[in-house]
Amino acid sequence: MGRISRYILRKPALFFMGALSTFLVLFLINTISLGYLEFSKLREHWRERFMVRAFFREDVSEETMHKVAKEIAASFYITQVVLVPPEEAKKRFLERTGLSPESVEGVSFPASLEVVPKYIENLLDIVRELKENPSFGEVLYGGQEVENFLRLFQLFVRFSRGFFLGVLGFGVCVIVVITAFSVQLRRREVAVLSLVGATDGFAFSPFFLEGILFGLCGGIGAYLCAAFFLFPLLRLAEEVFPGFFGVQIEEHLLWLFVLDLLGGCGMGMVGTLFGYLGVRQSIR
Amino acid sequence: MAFLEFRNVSKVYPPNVRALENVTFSLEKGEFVFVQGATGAGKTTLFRLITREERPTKGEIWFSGRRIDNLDSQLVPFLRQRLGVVFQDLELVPEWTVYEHLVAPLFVLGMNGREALQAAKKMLSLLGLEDKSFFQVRCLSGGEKQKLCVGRALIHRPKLVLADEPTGNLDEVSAMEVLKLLFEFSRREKATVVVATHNRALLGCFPARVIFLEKGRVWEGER
Repeated sequence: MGRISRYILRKPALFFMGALSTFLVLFLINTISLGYLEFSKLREHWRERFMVRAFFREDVSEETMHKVAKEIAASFYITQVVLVPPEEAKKRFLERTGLSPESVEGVSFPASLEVVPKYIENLLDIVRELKENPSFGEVLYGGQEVENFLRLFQLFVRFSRGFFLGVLGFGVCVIVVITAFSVQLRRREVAVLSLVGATDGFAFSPFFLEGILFGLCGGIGAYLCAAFFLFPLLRLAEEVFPGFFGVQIEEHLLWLFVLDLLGGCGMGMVGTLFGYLGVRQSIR
Repeated sequence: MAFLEFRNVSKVYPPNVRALENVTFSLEKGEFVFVQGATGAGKTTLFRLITREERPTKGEIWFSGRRIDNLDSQLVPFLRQRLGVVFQDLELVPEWTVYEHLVAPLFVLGMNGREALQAAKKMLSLLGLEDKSFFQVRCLSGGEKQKLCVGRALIHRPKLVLADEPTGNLDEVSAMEVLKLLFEFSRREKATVVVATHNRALLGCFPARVIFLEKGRVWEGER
């Protein structure tokens, strides 16, 4: 520890830069992670409102209906499939309208399949597949406006994924470059240690530990910032828009803490490793 | 077998600079040897081949019964741990203190802090740098840096010491002090000490074997 503390004290700006860059990247990741959790809740909320109803053709046997329902339920993108037989459809209709059974005498109520997608953005694909299935006569899902909304939603999902990956990639690059730079600045120390017979492990260990240390500092900073700034902000939003922000923050405190610590340490270690490898290649 | 042996060693730097040509000599344990040659004669290359900072183009180098010119790169640190080297360009870190430089080889060898501190104190008193132990190297004079470099080479009591122009930055009195230190170390520790110098005047000051280097070739003389 003596060697590491001397390294840090000698060039505290490098340590501070490393910790700050880790903190900023992890804070951004925390914000995006919480945003993603809210987004998942929103998806769930919408999913139940965008159920697909596919009506079986009149000539389809009950056995075939069960078979088709089973096949569709096996799809990864579908979370729930309910087969509504003609009697149940009639019962529901009468309950909803308050009419007597006699008044609908002679009217046919075809069997249908209620399909709930796992992800709202896959709804249109599911509709397409159901329409292509010869067992169904009609597929209802909401019409043109829903289609437009879903296209917008798909675009948003793709953009969000790209944005998250971009932020993550850029953040990791920044940390790696800063830590690698800080090791490069100490090239002479590594060279001298190597000349007096230090093994790679001996020469690298202070840098490696320093990387872990500033990663930890950045990670803890990001976690504290999330706990004392992001979470209160979400709670405030929940009070202003009741029912919309449904994420239970307390459930996520532990994994967020672990994510920040491991993320910080990992980035610090990878950065110092790259820096050391760069230095190692250039010394005798 | 000799303690250190060069067998027909040549070193050619690209594109075609012949630094050493068919160099053959051997050194025994406890010898004090001067390698004398003009600037560019190949003295530093000779040392770099021993420390494995360079590999020979041709020939074999044996140290303590083991061939080192083709030593696996992972074993090079262990070879260097057995050597004490005074580098021509000193190889000091300006931000490190005198004490840190002295204990570095000891820590590399796994010595604990207390023992290292004792050894460093002893070496500082030998070098006359007791009052500068916690000075950063950037605050030292050229001569003090040179002495520090010698101290770092001797502190872990290696059996082979290579001193490349150890008196280069020193006045006559200090130069003699440093050479005396190296000579006494050789006698006390039965260590082989090789001193490279371009200064012919130094050769007569100590009873030593002399290897002459000129344009990459060697021949020997005795004083």
